[in-house]
Amino acid sequence: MEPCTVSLEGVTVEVGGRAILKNLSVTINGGLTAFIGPNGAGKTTLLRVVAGVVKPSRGLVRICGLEPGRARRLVSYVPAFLQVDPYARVEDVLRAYSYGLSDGLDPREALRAFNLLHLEGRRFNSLSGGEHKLVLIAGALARKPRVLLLDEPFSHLDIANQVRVARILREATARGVTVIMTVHEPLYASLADNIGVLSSGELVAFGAPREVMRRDLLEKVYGVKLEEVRVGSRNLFIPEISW
Amino acid sequence: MVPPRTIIVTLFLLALLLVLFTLSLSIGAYRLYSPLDILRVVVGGGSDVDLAVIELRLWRSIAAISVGVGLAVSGLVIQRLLGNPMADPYILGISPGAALGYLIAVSLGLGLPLWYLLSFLGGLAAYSIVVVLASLAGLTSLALIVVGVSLSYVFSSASIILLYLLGPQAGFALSWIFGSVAYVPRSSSLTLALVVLAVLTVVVAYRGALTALLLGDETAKALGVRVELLRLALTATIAFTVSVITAAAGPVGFIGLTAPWIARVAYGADFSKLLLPTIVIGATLGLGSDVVVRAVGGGRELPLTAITALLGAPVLLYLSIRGRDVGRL
Repeated sequence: MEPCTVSLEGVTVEVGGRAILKNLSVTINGGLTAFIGPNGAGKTTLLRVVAGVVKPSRGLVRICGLEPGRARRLVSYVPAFLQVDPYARVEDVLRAYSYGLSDGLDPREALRAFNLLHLEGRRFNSLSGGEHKLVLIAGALARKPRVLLLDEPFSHLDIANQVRVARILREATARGVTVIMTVHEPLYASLADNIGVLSSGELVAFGAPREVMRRDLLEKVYGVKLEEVRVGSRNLFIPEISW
Repeated sequence: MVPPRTIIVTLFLLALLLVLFTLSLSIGAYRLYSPLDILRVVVGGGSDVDLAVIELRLWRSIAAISVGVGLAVSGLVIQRLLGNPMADPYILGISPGAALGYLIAVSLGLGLPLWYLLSFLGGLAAYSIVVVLASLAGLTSLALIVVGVSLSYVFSSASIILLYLLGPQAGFALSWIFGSVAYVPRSSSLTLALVVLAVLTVVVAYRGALTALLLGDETAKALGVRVELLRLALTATIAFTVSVITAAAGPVGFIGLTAPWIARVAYGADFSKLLLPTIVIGATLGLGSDVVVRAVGGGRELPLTAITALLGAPVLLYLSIRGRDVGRL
């Protein structure tokens, strides 16, 4: 499957007179893209713009050449956190993901694809944070999207589940799915093919991890001192904490 | 595969509804009929009086079932639209608005048909005010709840003042305020049934979007649900339905909250799968309450809302307390 291109041209989002995204332009040609940046930098808003949840005040968004409103069937969105009806079962949540699909969606198949069949019949709100995330990703991928959007897919996950999710996302890109995510952990950002750095609603850097993950840039964006540690082929950054 | 517990609950509810329907034809102030008596009258073996009485009770049963189903389905939809399992159809101010309209008509000394008309218009007017004010805050579920609850108290306060001023003149208005299907004329029973059928058709048409709304506004929007439009269209439909029900039978409480809740405990939260059980539970609660109203009053009829609350509250309390373990099932 040919990867789908996601492009934003001069996108500005203003809410109550405050610009959350400022004149943002970026083109993503498939693969795995991570957006990093401090809290409130506009990462989630960027995903919501691509998902068609938020309309930009100015600028153009195109998904496989289509505007977001016409590309609903091509895009799946996984929010950072989901609080649902206390009596909702895992299958109910998965079935809710079938909206707009002519063939529907088989919850058992979606669970089997990620070895989650043991969660069948459980109340969704009784699951751990990691299981929540895995079920939502299973639902989103069961829609067979061309573009998968994930808001903080690694948050609330233990190390084993972080590795599991990273593997799932990499397998999705191998099948031609364009994956765009927001992350806080530099480690998982550095797994991406491209990284975008957002600061106060502006895209201050975009490119391969080696080009973007620079100590000077990250220190400026986050406003903290960082220590650079090389592990294997990757540069990791640890904040200097003085008590 | 449908779990065995679900099948047992469904069969039990259908059997209960059948028993209640038979009881509803049997019990009343005139005389008691056994199931065999009813059968004999229906096939033409009874007197004209017996036939008239059973026919009257049949229409009353249709009204009670329509009220139960209409409120239950309205509650299910409102709970999903607002993402709040404690919401009921009255949270948007419809019932207090309808009650205020009714009492204004009584206070002005207008004729009986205008009591119902002003009640209906009061419900719709209250909903319209709630929606206009909530839209100033973006028509979110929180805005609708806050504005709806606040204005409900305002309308209720105005109703209390009117009731106080009416004094002994309140008379018949009091029995309406406490809810009853005893005074619903045959034509209104038919209207109620048709309105409920119409709202069911609308809800069935939107069941896909309502199923997706389980994922919250944001994810549902990403899937293509036009959330604001859906919320506006369906709350307006519910406002119309509940206004018709309230005008005919008064503000009957608790069914709109309890029926969808019971359905969710037994069947989960998939809207498409919840609709039919909610209809059956609503019909059972509506008809069951009306049977109890007639059976225990000793010749006088008890207020319907008192019975729906007495039947509904223990179920709700039991489910809420048991709900602590539900997550681990």
